Amino acid sequence: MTTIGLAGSGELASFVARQLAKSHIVRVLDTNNGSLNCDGAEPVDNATDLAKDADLVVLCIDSDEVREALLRSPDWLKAGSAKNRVLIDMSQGDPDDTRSLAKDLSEVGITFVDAPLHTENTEEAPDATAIFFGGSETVLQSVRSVLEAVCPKVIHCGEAGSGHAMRLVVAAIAACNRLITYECAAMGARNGLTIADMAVVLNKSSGYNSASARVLPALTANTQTANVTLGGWANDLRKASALGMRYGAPMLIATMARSTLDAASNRLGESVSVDRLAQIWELDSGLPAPGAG
Amino acid sequence: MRVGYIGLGAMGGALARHLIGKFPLSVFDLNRKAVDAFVELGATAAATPAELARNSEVVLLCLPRSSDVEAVLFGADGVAQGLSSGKIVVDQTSGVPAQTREFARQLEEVGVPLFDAPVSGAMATAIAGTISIIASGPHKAFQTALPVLQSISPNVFHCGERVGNGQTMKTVNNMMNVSCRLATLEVVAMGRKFGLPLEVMTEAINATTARNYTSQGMLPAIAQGRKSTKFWLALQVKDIHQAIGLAAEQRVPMPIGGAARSILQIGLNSLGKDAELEQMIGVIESMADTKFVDAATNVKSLEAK
Repeated sequence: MTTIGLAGSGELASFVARQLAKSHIVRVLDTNNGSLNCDGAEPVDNATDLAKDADLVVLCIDSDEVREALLRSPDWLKAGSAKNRVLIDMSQGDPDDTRSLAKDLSEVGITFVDAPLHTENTEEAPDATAIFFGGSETVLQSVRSVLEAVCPKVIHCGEAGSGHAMRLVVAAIAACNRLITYECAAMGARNGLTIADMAVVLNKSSGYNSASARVLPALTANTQTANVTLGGWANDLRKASALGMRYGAPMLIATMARSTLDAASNRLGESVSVDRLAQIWELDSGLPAPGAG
Repeated sequence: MRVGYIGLGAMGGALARHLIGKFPLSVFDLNRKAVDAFVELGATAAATPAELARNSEVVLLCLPRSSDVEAVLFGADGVAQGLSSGKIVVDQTSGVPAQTREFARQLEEVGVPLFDAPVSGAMATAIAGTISIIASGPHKAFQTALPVLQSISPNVFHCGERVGNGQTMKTVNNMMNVSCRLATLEVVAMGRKFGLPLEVMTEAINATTARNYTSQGMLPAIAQGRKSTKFWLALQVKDIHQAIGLAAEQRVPMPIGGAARSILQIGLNSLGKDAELEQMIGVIESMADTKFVDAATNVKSLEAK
């Protein structure tokens, strides 16, 4: 049985650990004091112990600083044997940094690949959930079964860095879907439409998007659609926006989405679910909150 | 039930065709060729909107704008002159809800209910008879006219008793469609600049919560070198102006809708009044200085066709 060392933090890392622990021996290094929860995984105290005897090492860290500290000083990885030097980054990094890191790490015998996971709700996975792999086809084949243990949908996007770039594309459009849905639904509601009618009609018409399909019925039923955080989304959109600037892509709407998410994160807090964005539109549009009668 | 249809343009003509052979049908349009085509199929040409209304129990209209509806209803030889109590007017125009409510109020004074029933969907769905019809207004009149609407498409929704709600719903739908379309295209353009292939991005987007009507329809069409829309850009801009107007009336902020409107306006100003919505693909490409499909891939796609 493959032994996997997972360094991570937050709900996404906990989800990855739980999925892997169903079919693998998993050791976990909590990089943020108690935010990584997984029954059945063996906790370790430091990165060196994590890498020792691990067949694969996986990063899924929601702090850019912690992730970069581990990647920029990779001596801890040398605790493993030569064949164990595959490092899979399931966090969200900057695609160009990932390209550059993959090159640097290859010079010290470490194969670094990116395989970030996109989901809005780990409790609903694998629905609308996918892993975007950046690295060679050969490496993908060698780790595919591990990745599929986390999520059956694995898409090969190109060389190292491509997985991170793809996830930013997906995250930006997913965020736009949701923000557009709130904005348009607020306009409809203020003009006399019910959310229930919009949930039916828009999702059978050309306005359909993944957010309208989930969010509008949930607003009517006062239920949740997501357990990813506003802070996480804002961070993704900052990276997407930076990539757009670097490559000369205007991204007028996605850049506005970045600003909106940062503002919402500042108003409501980084750790709240993206479902709470509904509150922003209710307040800013003068709508009554759901259930307020 | 005797039915009359006014406005045989691209959309109105496609909708009215479904009524031929199912109801005694009178038609009116300023375009004589369009009328003649319907007469050849068995419809009766009315000399004026008033004559059409005299000969019909249900009068449907599908015109470019609410101002056109007002002229056809209340102008010289207008529909109102041929109406009498018990008849029904159905407005399929993508009109302004408040103006449509005012038309309904005026006709109510002579005992004629008017409700709105705009359509939402691609031209292909109008022709196929599967387009969404989004109605609102007095329930009794809606139920009476429902067999007529269901002959056009079985996908009929009723969004409450308030006249104009259907047009509001269509406006919301248009805004969501356009905003998601432009957001998707501009982000995919960024992905192209990084070097991600369009086909792989399309697969990734459609596998996740990024999916939307554009990712499922337009992105595969671009990859295959075919068109996926048939709509005038100027009309799309008109629709979006209407959405922004509805938001402003109710003091609802629409920052993304405003950005989408501006991008469309740039496209219309750059391409000219005869541009089609499909040409916005090229506008987004040029704004990002990239191509969604590599020239070599495009040649292969055309050869395969």
